[in-house]
Amino acid sequence: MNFAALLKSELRKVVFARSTWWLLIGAIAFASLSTAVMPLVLDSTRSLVDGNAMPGPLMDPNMVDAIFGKASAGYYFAMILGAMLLAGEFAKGTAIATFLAAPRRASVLAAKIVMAALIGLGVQIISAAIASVVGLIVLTGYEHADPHPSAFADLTLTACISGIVMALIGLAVGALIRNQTAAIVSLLAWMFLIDPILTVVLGSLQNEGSKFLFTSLIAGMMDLHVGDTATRNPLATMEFFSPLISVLLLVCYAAVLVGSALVTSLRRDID
Amino acid sequence: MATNTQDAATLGSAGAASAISFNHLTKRFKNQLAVNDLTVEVATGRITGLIGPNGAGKSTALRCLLGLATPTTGETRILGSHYSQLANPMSRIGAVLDSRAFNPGLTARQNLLVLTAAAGIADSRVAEVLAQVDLAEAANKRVKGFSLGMKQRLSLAGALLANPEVLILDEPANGLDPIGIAWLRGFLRELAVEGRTILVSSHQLAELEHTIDDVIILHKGSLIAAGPKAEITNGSSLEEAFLALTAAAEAQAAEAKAATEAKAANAANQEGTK
Repeated sequence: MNFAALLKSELRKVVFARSTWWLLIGAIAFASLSTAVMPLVLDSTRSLVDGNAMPGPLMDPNMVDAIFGKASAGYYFAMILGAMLLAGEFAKGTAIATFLAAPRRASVLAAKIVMAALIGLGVQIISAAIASVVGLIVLTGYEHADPHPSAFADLTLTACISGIVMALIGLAVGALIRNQTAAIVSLLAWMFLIDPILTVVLGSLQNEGSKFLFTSLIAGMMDLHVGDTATRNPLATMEFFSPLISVLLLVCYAAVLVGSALVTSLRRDID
Repeated sequence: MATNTQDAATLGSAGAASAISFNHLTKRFKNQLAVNDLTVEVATGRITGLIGPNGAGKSTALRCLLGLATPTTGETRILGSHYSQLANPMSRIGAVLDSRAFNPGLTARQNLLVLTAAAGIADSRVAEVLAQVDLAEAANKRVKGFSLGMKQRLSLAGALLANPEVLILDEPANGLDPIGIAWLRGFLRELAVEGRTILVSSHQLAELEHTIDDVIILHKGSLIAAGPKAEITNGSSLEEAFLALTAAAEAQAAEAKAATEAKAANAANQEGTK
C-alpha cells in the first residue's frame, strides 16, 4: 500500500468534512478572543496615584509578549480534531471502508499520525497568525510597549509545537477510547476540570507533582523563546518546568499515548 | 456437491479453482462462539450465497475473511492470500459490509474520492460507478439525505471502483424495496456474467433464490450444508431446503446433547455406587 496514497485519502477526509472548518473557525475565534481581552483586562488594573494614572502593565514589553503568547490558545481545537481523526471513523462507521482499502493497520495509523501533526500545525499557524493580528489591532487602542523582537518567532514556535503535540494526544485518546463523543468529553474534562482541580489540590499541598500536569506543562511551554530575551511569563501564577523540559514531557506523554493507541488498534477487531 | 458439514467443501463444478477459502475458521467473542470450525471453499466465477438466520455467523466469517476481525483459530484466504497481505486489495476485491460505511456529512462523490485516493484508483472512476448503480444524479448530494436503498447502491459503487474480480457483499438487500431487490438481482447477474466471483450473504432466502449458483448454509456458527443450489434444494425451494437442514441440525444437536448428559449422569451414578 502506497503511503502517499493513504495520506492523500486522509487529507481528503479532513478537507471534505465540514467539522474541520468549523473547528478551525473555533480555534481562530478562541485564540483571537483570548488575545483581544488581555489588553482590556491588564489596562483595567492600572492604579491611580494622586489622580494620575501610573504606567500600566502594557508598558512592560514582557507583558506585551505574554499577550501575544495567548494567540496560541487554539491548541484545544487541534486536540479535538486529532481525536476525531480515528474516533470519528468509528462514530460514522467509515472505519470499515478505511481498513478494507488499507488492511495494513500500521500504515493507516501512521498516515493518521502524520495527518494529525499536519492538522495541529495548520490549525495553530492559522489561528495564531489571525489572533496576533487581532492583538495588534486591539493594542492600538492603548498606550503600550513594543513586544520583544523575537516575540512572534516565540509565538510561532509555541503554536507549532503545541498544535502538533496536542493533536497527537487527541488522536491517541480517540484511538484508545474509540467513542468520539466520549473521547472529546474526556479530553475537555481533563483539560478544564480534572487537571485544574489537581493543580489546586497539589499546589495547596506544596506538592511539586502539579508541574507534571498537562496544563502546567503547556503553561511552561509558553515561555519557549528563540531569541535572547527570555523572561518568565509575567502572567504565570505558579512555578513551571523550563520550556524545554515542558516540551519534552509533553512529547513523552504524546508518545506514550500514541504508542498505546498503536498497540491496541493493531489488536482490536474493527466494528 | 452434496451437503457437507465439517469436511472441506468446494463449491461449483468439479475442479474449479477456489477464489475464497475458510480453513477451520473459529471466532469466539468472550463466551460466545460466533463461527465454529468453518471449512469451505468458494469457486471462481460463480455467485455463492452465504445464508443463515441472524446470528448464524455470516457477517463474522466475512469480517474474518476481510481482515477486520482476527480469527480465534483457523485461517481464511482470498485469491490465494490473506486479505491483509494483498498489495492493493481494493484493486482485486470489492466488499460491502455495511451500508452505513460512508460519512453522512460528505457527498456520494466525496465519499468515493476518499476511497479512490486510498486505493490509487483514477478519480474518473467515481462518475462511472455512480452511473453504473444509477446514482449519477445524486453524486453531489450528502449521504445523510440518502434512503437505505441509495446507501446500498453507493456501497456497491464503492466496491466496484477498481473493477474487482471478487465481490463480497454482506446483506446487500437489507432495507431494499421490491424494485430495489429486483434491481440488485439483475445487477448481480450482470456482474457474474462478466466472470466475477461473488459471495453474497443474506438471511432473506427468497431474494437469493433466483440469484445464486452455489449455497453455503450456516447455523449457529457451524456449516450445515454447502454445494450447488440445485443439489442442496433438490427440487424444493431454497427456503424449504434451509428449514429442513436447520431442523435436522437442531435435532442432531439435541441428540448429541442428550447423549452427553446421559453419559455424564451415568458416570455420576457409577461414582455414587462406588
